[in-house]
Parts: sequence; C-alpha cells; structure tokens
Amino acid sequence: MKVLGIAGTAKNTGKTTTTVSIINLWSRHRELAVTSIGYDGESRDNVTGLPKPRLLVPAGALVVTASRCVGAGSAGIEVLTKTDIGTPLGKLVIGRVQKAGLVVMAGPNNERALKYFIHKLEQMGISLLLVDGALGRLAPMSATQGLVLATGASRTTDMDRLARESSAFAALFALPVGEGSEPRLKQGSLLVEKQGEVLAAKAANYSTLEFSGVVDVKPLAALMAQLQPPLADIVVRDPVKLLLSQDLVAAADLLREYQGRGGRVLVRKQLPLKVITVNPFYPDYNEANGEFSPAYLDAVEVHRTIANCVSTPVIDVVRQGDAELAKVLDLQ
Amino acid sequence: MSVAKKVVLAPLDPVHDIGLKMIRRGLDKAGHSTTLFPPDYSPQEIVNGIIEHEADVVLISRTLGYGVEEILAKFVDLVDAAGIRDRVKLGVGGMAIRAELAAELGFDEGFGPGTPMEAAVAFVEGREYVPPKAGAQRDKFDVVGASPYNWKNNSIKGLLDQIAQQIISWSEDKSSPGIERAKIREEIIRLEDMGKDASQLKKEYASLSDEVISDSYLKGTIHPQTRRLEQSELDSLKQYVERTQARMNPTNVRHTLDKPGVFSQYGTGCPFMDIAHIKVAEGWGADGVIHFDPSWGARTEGFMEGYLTHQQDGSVITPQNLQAIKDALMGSTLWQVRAHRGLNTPETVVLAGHSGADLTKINICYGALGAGTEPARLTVDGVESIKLAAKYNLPFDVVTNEELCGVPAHKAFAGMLIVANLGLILGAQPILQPLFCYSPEVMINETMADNYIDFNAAKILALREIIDAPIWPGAPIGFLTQSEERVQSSVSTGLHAALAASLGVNAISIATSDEAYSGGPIAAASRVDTLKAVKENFRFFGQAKIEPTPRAQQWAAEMVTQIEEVLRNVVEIGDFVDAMYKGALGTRDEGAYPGRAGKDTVSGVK
Repeated sequence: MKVLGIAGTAKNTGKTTTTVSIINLWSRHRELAVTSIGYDGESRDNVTGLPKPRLLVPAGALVVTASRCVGAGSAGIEVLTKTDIGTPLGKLVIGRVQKAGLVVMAGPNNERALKYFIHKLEQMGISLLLVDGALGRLAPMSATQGLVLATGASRTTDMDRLARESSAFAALFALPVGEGSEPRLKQGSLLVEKQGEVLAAKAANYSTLEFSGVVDVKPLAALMAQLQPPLADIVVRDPVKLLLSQDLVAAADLLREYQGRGGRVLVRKQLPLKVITVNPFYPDYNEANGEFSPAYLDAVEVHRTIANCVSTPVIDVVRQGDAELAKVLDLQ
Repeated sequence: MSVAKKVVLAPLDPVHDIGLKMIRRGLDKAGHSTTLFPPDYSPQEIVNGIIEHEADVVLISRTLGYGVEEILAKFVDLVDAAGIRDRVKLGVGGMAIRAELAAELGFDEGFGPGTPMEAAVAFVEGREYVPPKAGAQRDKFDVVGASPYNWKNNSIKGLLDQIAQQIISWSEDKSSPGIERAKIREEIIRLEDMGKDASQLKKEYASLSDEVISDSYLKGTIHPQTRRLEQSELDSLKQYVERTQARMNPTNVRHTLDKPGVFSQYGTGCPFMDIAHIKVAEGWGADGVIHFDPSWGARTEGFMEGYLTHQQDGSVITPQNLQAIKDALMGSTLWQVRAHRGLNTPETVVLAGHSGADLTKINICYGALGAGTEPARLTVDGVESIKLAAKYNLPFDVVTNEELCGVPAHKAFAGMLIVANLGLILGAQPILQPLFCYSPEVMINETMADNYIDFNAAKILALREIIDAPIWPGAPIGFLTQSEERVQSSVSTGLHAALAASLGVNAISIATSDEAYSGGPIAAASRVDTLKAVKENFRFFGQAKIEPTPRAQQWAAEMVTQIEEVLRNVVEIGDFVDAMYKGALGTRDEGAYPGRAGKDTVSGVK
C-alpha cells in the first residue's frame, strides 16, 4: 500500500487542491482511502472566511473521519468500522463512500493514531491512502511513506524567502539514513537552549548523540557550538523531527555548517519528499476593514524561483494540470 | 472523582490567561494537581515543561488572529514529534475556538467562549461532557403560582359581586351563534376522536357561520387570503422540528429570579414560520408563546378547518393549525391561544383546551370597547368562554388593551376587575394583565414625563391594594416606548422587564425589537434581541430592586379611588352592557367605541 502525505507549509497553500488532483488520477476507487490529520471540507476558511476547495471523493473509496462529519458533506457514507479514537468532532470511523460527493474530514490527529489506520486500511485491501495535512502540521506525516509538500504565496509573499525556505525543506528531507557510530548517548527531545548546553558538557565521551524526539534549532546550535572534533554523529528518527524548528532556514544553515566542519547529521528513517506543489494564491489582509481578500503572486515566477533552488520536482497543479503530477508520483 | 490528573495550563498568548486561571480553580477544587505556566513561554518551552512535569493533560489558551493558528498547530506538532502525544491530552480554549478548528489544529478538544467549567473538568477526567438540556429538564413555568385570590378591598369586592350577579343572571337565558358553534365544535371533536363521521354537524356549523367560512365546509373554497399547506410542506415541517429540536439547548433568562415568566408572541400567518419563530423564542429562553390570529378572524363568524397559511399578519385558528403548533412545542413551553375579543371567543377556548394550550385570554370590556365586538354579544360569549376556560382548566389573562385606545388605566382596570371577578365566581383562574405602556392617557397627563417607572409601578401597587392575584403585564411591555431602532427598542424592553421583575409580577409579554414599527414581517433576529436584552437586565439587577419615587404610591392610591368610582357608576346604571354603551368603562372621547360586529345576534336559549 502506498501512503502519501500531503502537507502544507501554511494554510491555503493548496493541499486540498493537490489532494483532489491525486484522487482524480487514481482510477481504482475501491482501493483508495482518504483521510486528514486535521479538518478538511469546510466551504470557507475557518480563519479568513474565504472560499476553499472541498474534498470531492468518488464512490467506492474509503474515508477515515469523525462521526460528527459523516452526515455533514454531500457524499453518502456507509460506516464500516467504529473506533474509540476521539477528536473534537467525535470518534473516528472508517466509512465507504456510497454516493460520490463532498466529504467533511476530520481524521487521526497524531502519528500513532494514523499508524493504526494505515494498518487497518491495508487489511481492508487499500492500495493508496492519501493523508491530507492540516495547517502546516507535519508530525503525524512521519507515519507516511512519502510526502507531497504544498507551498506558495500563502506561506510568505517574499519570493526570496519562499525560495530559501523550500531549499531548506528539501535539504532536511535529503538527510542520509544511518545509525551513527558507537558509543552513543540516547536523548529524548532537545527543546530549550539550556538542554543543548547541558548535553554538550556530557557529549565528549560519545561518538553519537541520538534523539528519539523533536530537535529545535536553538538548543541544537548551542550544542553544536560546544562540540569539538572529532565531531559526534547527530541522529534523529526522521526529517520531520528537525522540521519543526522555529526557523527552518536557520536549521538548514546550521546543519550545512556542521557538515562543513566534518560532522554528520543522520536520520533513522527517510521520508521521501516526492514533489513540491506551488500555489501563487494568498489571502490579503486589509487592515482598514479587517477583511481578507484573495490575491496572487505571478504564478510563473513563483514556480521558477522554487524550481531553481531544489532538485525535487516542482509543479503548479492548477497551471500544469494533473498529468505532470501523475508522472512524478507514479500514479495510474 | 476519577484519579487525580496532572494538568498543565499554558497561555500561549502574550496577555490572556484569565480563562485559564478560572479553569485552574475549578480543577483544583476537583482535586487535580495543576501548574499554570507564565504567559511568555514559547511552544518549545511549553513542550519541555510538559515533559518535566509529566503532565497528563495540557490546556492551552489563545485568542485567535491570522497566523496564530499556525503557532497552535506547531505546538501540537512538537508534542507529537517529541513522542509524548500518546500520553498527553491536549485542549485549546479561547475566543473563536470551535470544534472544527480544534480538529484542524490537532487538539483533542476545543473550548469556545462560554464553555462551562464542568466541560473542562470532564475533559481532564476523560469523561464525556453531556451539556444539561435546559429545555428537557425545565418544568413548565407556573404563571398563576400559589395566588390566593384574596380580596383586600371589600368595598370594591362588594361592587364587583353585584355586577357579576347581574351579568350572570342577564346572560343565563341567552345564547349566540358563537356559543352554538362552540357546542357543535365540542361534539365534532368528540365524534372525530371516536373515528365517527361528523359531516352532518359540520353542515349545521356552516349554517351558523359567515359565508366565507360556510363555503369552506359546503363548497371546499377557503378564505381568499389563505392557502392550504401541501403535504410536502407538512412533511418538511416535521423534519425541520425534529432537526431543530435535536440541536436546541435553551438558555435560562431569569438568572437568580423565580419570576417573571417571559412570553413572546408569534403570528406570522404561516404555521411553519410560526414554529420557526417559536423555536427561536424557546432557544433564547422564552417560557411561553402567544398565538396571534388575524384581525378578520375576530370579526368573522366561524373557523375554517385544515392546515392553512395566511398571506398577512396573524395565524388562522383551525383545529389542524393549532395541533401542528402544539406538536412542535418543547414540553416545557407554555402556550397561550387568545380568545379575548371576537365572535369566536367560546370556540377558541374549546379549541385551545382540546389542542393542549396552557392559557387563554378573555376580556369582555376590551373586546367590546376596543376591538369591535358588540357589547351584548361579547358579554354573553364572554361568560360562556369563562365557563369553558374553567372546564378546560385554562387560566386566562384579562388584558387592558383599551388603554392603547386612550381609555384611562383606572377605567380599563375596573373592566378588568369585573371580568376577573366573574372568572373567580365561575370557577376559573383569571390573571390580571395591565399594560406597561406609553399610552395616550400617559402622554396627555404627562405621567411618564420624567420616568417610565412610577406610573407602571402605580398600576401594580393599585391592583395589589385591591386583590392578591397573579399579574402579567403585557402586551407587550414597554409598548409605544419602542422605536424602529433595534438597540433602543431592545434596551427599552429589557428595562421594562427589569421593572416588572422588581415589582415581583408573575409574567411578562415582550415584543421583538422590530415589532412596534416593523410594518411587515418580524425578523427572527429581532426576537433574539429582546430576549437577550431581558436576560441581560435580569442578570444586571438580580435580586436588587428598582425604587420608584413617592409619586407611584400617590398615583396608586388615586387609581384605587377612581376604580371604585367607576364600579359604583356601573352598579348605579344597573346593567353591565348598558354601562359599556353609556361610557362608564371608557367614553367615546377617550377612544372607547362600543363595537358592532355580531350586533343583534344574541338570542334566547333554544
């Protein structure tokens, strides 16, 4: 079973548009399942009030959503399995779409719950599971096998910054897989600067510093600054654990600098970044009336700027259509 | 209580942590161990703190703006990536937080404004929070209460008794088409309840009705301003009621007060629309609703049958329309069907009784002097209606709407007391309904030049000096003080409600904020306006009282004297109907015109 995550770097970067495109590309509807790690299917954005594309799911496909969402869309859904996993919109169920239509989706909101459903859906004969992201959330995506990243003007209208961020993102996903050498010091998360300093004091006796949890750039910088050659290997579980840094560009710069000093940063498990989709749309905030209105950057320029600084394929789904996406994701 | 939890409360917000402090107090009281983080922690610092405290539950508070939700999402991501998401339950609260947004952000629960403490405690303890269904648990409000009906002014009581005896003996050997139709209607209902054919009786009924009504029985035509609701409309009405009822969680407007009960009136013309308005009234805390029928209904002999919608104001009384409305009411909602003024008064009481209404409305004097019904006819019909109200156990209010025509309060009150005493003698439960209004009399005499309190208070004080009886100012309170401006209108209604509560009356009827000047359909939102205004006033005043000036007591004393004079005059005239014609209860100059509808229809008993 393929498990594809569709994550966005911010709200309104085109996650749902990309998801809808992939659904359209997958003809074996009875082997398709769709869920969301957040809430999808609102006709208007929960914050800006602007219209949003909604998830149109074909008949035959399975969905994982919260019980209170089952009757909310226009799709006819038959509930097959109920679970005890809760969300603010009720407990999660697996349902089969009987009548194609819009589905309001609020699915598993953490990695472990998502893993549970991946296992369950595989048993039910699903060959493609799409996991729609939420609001730049990435952590549950660790459970997928590959990621589609939606980014664009909604993240920032500063084209230069968009390019540097995309490049940083791609660099973190490209980290090599490895265990590092022995002896190793195992740690949980690295969240605050003090932890970095404390750890640096103990690090001299170890060849590998391995983190099972999340690693933030600030304490990591504090740690790396203290480390002396031979530099220890830094090992994290997967790229997502480094991606939640407050400043992604700074994180990528820090890792490049460490690598430049001869150090290694490794991941236990890779999460392939399959494609970056770009969206020139952004909600423009009007201070005077407190309202948002739709606005666009130049689509061609957004695409070119990002494509120029990453080796991952970059697609503007709306402009280039589904065929390009199908090719990159190897879907038929 | 379940096992004590370790709870971290974190305001992911530069300033706002009042909500969390309140929740913390509730959680501490429930025996949980709580830690409140300072408001300047970063998401990373909060996650680190959660790990250090080994928290079971984390409650985040945050006001929302664009971009803020990404900080919240990032926080949830950090918890997940740190590998502790399985062990920690995450809740988020604040303005603009809704379940959908909480789901989108990856939280386990979202708490919007007004979330009860119990919901947060239930979340911490891992219990499902079941909000109390105010409507389901609420009992019907008791308007009459434990009123002893003690007369406190024996002189007035003596006069009223003389008048009542005269009315009863005068009407004893008389009847009218209205009374005959009421009897036939009771028989039709009895037969149809047994599944028997009542068509012969309906022909007889038709013969006692005006042409437009009798045609509906004999030719199947209906009143030109009405239309039959289609089956599909009735089906969707049923679904609408079920759907709406399932979502309703009615509020309580009374705060710490035991009374007054709050009534809202409806009468859009369409039973379906009426029901929608009733649901709004119920949802925003009304204790009861009042059915308004079209004005032509009061001047037309007879009622039609069927589910009928009316193109103009007022909803047509038919057995089926009333049943549809009754079926849509919440169990706790009081329902008043007004019979007070027209040619169908006795039959209205019969239909109200049979369709399960709680209250009706009867006032012979207003109907005869302000609403166009001939005095002798309405006296005969009124006596019968009061007997029927006693039979069907329907308390009725006696509204002094003639005040709006210009009749001074003391004359209107004398009429009200005549009908109320008649009610008591005939075994019914009358409710006094003085207006709380800016009436012509008030304008001319400038009794509200300084404030709206004294004269309204004087009315209540005067009535209380005469009798201990339930009082229900109406109809609606503050009438003619409200303008076309919604805020002004709502504030005025709210303050009149506060005055009524301060005076300890049993119930009030309130207008919608657009009612007095709408010149057309009432908007549901304006119904919410005044219910909320009333609620806010009750919250504001609580058990505190409004203090009238000494003028109120003076006016009350004057009013009692004047009422006695009026009653003495009626007794001297010797005949109640004659007294109405002679202006004892309001002169033509004062705006009281003896009505002509139903003239010469009173007959000897067949």
